[in-house]
Amino acid sequence: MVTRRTFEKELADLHEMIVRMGVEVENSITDAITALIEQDNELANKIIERDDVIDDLEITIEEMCLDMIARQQPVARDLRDVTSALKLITDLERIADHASDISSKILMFEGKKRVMIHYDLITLAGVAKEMVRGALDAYVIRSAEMAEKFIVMDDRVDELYDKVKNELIHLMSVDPGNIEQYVEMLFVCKYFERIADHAQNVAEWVVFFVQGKHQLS
Amino acid sequence: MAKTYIYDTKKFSLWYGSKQALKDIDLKIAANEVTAIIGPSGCGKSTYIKTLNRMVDLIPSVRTEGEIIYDGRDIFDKTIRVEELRTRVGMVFQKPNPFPKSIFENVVYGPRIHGVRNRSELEDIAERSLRAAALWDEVKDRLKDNAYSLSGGQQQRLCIARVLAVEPEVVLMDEPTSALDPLSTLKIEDLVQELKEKYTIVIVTHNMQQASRISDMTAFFLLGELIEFDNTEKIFRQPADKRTEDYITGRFG
Repeated sequence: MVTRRTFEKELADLHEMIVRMGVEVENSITDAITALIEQDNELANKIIERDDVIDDLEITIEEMCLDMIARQQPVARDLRDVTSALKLITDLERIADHASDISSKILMFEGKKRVMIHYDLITLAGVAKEMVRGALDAYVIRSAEMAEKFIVMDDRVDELYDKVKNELIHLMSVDPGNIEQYVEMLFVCKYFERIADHAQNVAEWVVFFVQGKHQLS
Repeated sequence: MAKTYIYDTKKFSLWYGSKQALKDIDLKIAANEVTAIIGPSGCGKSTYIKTLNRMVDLIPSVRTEGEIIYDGRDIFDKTIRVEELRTRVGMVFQKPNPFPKSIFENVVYGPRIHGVRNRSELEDIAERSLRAAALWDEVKDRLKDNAYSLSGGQQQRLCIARVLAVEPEVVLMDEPTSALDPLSTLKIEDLVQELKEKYTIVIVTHNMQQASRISDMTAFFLLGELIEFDNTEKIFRQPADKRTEDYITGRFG
């Protein structure tokens, strides 16, 4: 492999940067769940600050990919490696955005009467987090099989979302005095549901990278 | 739309003395397409392209098996007239090789040999061929100049014009741009795209990006064997054979 030592090094650096970005994103989701349950405003602010770090990582990785395309003209597996990285970081960045959105909602709850956080919402958030971690693990070990396991988990998230939504609608009708908190809580739920969607995308990019074709959904 | 095939290579093997250079090649070349042949040095790609117009005949001790069907006949059939085959199947080489004559005389050399004497007819052929080779505008005022006064890229297009002057069906190109600068290379590549409307092009190239840019089909040769032959997009996006992938990504050289 002497012929492409530089390129191999660049690819290894790219993978390492994506893992770094993935770790930051995972931390944001974990913290978002904690901050929501404990109404931890300080932690919520930390998540919002971390979003800038993740945005910077996305730009850095994007530049690495563009450099590689311009200078190495990757083909076949290498081309899929670089293009899937380019697509996947967009999803990771969106996940971080949603964690930040959730944090903004947590800060809005401050000073208002606490409403109960539905058990299914916590479950949903947990599944979303598991999907992000699983998709990233599948990326690290290049396993389409593993990625597919996490792709199908999105159905469970959608089910949970419907359950939480119906529960919140019910609560709005019986407890109209706190309707604002329920509406915000519905947003929180929606953001976690979107996080799961983007995790599904990440897993699909892993499948694309390994198999060279898109998973048919 | 069903493709029309101009060449059908069937179980074709070739030896130089005792050394086998091509092994059991099965390959169909479609009309009005650009077929690129890639592979590392010594893989047999140049041997294969030189076989298509029987240039390999010039090498002593060549022995073949199998057949290459062109226009309904095996090109090694006794009834084939090699000169006629080489008229219908022209070739452009790695280094431009104009004759030490004027630009005009270079282009009309073939038609002259084929008995065209009429001056205005020769002039028509020269203009048409030079236009088809995208060289006319650059040389129309200096047709009497020696061909060696042209740049390398222009000389190569002159050689293409010379091939086109005898109205072939197929143009074989053996690394036609490897001696040219990037701009001249792009001109030849553009030209190839235009030529395929009228001709069938087979091109051997060491430049993988070139193969991916200009060809419709790509064949990958390795150690005398045809490893993979498919649509160019398929070869460069997701080759089926690991050896193809390793070669085009530079994992072995």
